[in-house]
Amino acid sequence: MAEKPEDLNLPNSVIARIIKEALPEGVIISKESRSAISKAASVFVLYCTSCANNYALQQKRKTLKDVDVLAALEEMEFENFVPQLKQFLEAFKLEQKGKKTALEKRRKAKESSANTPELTSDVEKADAAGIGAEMGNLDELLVMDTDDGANNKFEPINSN
Amino acid sequence: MSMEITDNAKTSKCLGNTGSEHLETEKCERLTRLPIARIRTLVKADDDVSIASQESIFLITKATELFVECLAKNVYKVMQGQKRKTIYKKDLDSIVETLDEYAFLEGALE
Repeated sequence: MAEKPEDLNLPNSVIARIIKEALPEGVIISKESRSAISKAASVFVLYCTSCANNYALQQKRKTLKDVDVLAALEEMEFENFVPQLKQFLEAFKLEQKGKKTALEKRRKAKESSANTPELTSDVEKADAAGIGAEMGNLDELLVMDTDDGANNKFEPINSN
Repeated sequence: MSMEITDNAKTSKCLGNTGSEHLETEKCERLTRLPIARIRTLVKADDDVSIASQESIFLITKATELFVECLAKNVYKVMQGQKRKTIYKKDLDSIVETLDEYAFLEGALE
């Protein structure tokens, strides 16, 4: 535990904030006791991990899972944490699901936007020669329409 | 929603109303206060652990937050009767000796 004290410590600012919000206003916590609580939190993580891992090994699993952590907490006499943790876990799973969906959407959007410029370039390439001809045909059609309009199409029915 | 608040109030020894508020705010913002990455580093420090799922790391993170909150409140209870307003290390040592759930901390806080 004394090998890498920096790595094993949790951020003091967060610990301090949690402590402050847990206590009534006006209560002061000494630097020494705040530091001790932070250390206790680190020890808690290691102890919880160890207990959870033992539970996983008992179940003949190599992967530490959520059920192992919950079982460990019961063994450590922190069973009162379990109901709330289950709620947090559901929220976390929903968040992870949402992130996955968003990621898939982004991936699909990227694929479709990647396809569109290719099409345009294909059209440009393939019709480069033919465009002028097509346009020419179109012009003729337009001219024909106008002529028709002048003669027949745009005359009001009543006038007939 | 109201059921959650009631459950929180009933089931949690340590987190009265603040717990439910935190649950709702955290759902809208971040789910954890402690950095999950740092907890993962601690978990991986245990050589016996090969793989840990995302959910397990998350749970340990949240459990640690609850632990800190609970510990602070329990320490406060010790000095509550006395006239001082400052919590000292001796108060922490006192609950490590008296409360069973904190027995694992014996000798670790020196």
